[in-house]
Amino acid sequence: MTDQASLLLKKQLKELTKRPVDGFSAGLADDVNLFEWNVTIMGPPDTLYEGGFFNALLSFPNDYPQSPPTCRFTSEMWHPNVYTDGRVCISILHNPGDDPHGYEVASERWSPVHTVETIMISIISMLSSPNDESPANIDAAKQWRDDREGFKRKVARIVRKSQEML
Amino acid sequence: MSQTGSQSPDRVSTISTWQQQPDNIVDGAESRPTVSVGEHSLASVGEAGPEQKSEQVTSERPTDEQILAQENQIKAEEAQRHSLIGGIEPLSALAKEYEAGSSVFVNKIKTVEASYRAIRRARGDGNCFFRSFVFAYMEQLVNLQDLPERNRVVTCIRQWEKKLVEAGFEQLVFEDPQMIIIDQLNSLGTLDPLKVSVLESNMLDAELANQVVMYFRMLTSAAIQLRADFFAPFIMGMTDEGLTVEQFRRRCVEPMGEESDHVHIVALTDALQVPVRVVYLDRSLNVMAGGFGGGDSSAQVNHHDFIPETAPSAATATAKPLIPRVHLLYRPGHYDILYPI
Repeated sequence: MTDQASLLLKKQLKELTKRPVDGFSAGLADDVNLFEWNVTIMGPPDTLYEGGFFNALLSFPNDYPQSPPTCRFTSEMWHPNVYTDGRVCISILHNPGDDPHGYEVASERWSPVHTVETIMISIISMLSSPNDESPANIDAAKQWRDDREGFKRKVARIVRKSQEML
Repeated sequence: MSQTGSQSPDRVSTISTWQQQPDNIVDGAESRPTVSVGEHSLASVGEAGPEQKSEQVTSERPTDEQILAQENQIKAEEAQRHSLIGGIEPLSALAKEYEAGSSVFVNKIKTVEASYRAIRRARGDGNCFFRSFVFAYMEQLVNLQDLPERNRVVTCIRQWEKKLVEAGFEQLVFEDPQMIIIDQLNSLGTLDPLKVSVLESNMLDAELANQVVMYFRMLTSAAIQLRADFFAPFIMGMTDEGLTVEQFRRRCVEPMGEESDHVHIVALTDALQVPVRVVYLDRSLNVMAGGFGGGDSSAQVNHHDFIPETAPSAATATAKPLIPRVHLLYRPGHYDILYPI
């Protein structure tokens, strides 16, 4: 299984090094392991996360692209769709048979067409528009819904923190 | 009777409660229920309205987690029972499975036997249409050493490169799978041509075979995008939510394991210009135009030919009716390969 995965990941690394994409930067976490990537996501402009630099770890399974990678923020994050341990919970990172949001919620699931770039674009879009209907972090979702001011303050704090870590 | 044999009739009779009529896409595209992935017995459960929250009806309706767990269990059982692609079997092997079940099926299989000598099964993992189609097509090229058709399809696949990029796929995602397919095709006519035994082992190798399936899923998705105006009304009518073409591509075409419907078949046969015949083995008793079989209406077997719409045949000197190159057997929710006599 690993042959196809390595080859595809190597190509993406080369491509992203040659032609970086706006909004994030990506590289291997450890030079000898193609399956673990460090990414830094710039908080998207005109959102609460603007100005932040958030680090995350992308871990690819051996059968990528048949199965999705996992993405976990290593920077502090406060968002309805990010678990308190940093794991990102968006539908495209789930296989059709592995959906925590339930059976009937029709949403876009993982398909082998996704790359580091398209995954990052989805995560950036998640930062821009939280989905509080199927929250991973219930406290964050509640605050997003009921106490928007408090939510903004909390996010402003993690944005500042992420800048200090640079 | 074998263990497998005694189970199948039950399984199939559950499936057949939805009895679909094999129709032309114009009026038949919506005939398949929205919930699928080969988990037939769950269809009625899955169709419960979205407003029906699981907490309220726990006694009648399993939770989402239970449904998913059962789905995954059925998939695992299926994986144990069938390899990705099976060997050639006589149709009598299929008939045996239904002996204790529906006589309609047994009679229909007899009718199918008049035109077909054998069957080759694909695993029922939601990719069976793609696996069956690709295998049957390539096996025929190998057996006939059909170099003109090989040249045509290789050119066709290369021409799709640009269109795949235009449809939003990254080149690096599809270039390896594309190469796997073209390399196998291009070996025909060389000193070391592809053999059926090698094709078999390639399609049994999950890594290789799934890349091939993935490529044809992308091709199908791009073909749907390219003719979005044509497909939109059918796609709209397939589900209650009325999916857009874009949503349909992302949810029902590109992910592995999503079952294929008329829309997929029309798109792929058009994209590759490969005509396909689908023979329907279901419990319907209707005598339909386009079917074949004897005077006994219960043994009438319907089929539908998917003839590429944009067939260039009229423009060429070799203009002739496009006869199906690939023959598939459809049982509700599943496709296998048929071998004509």
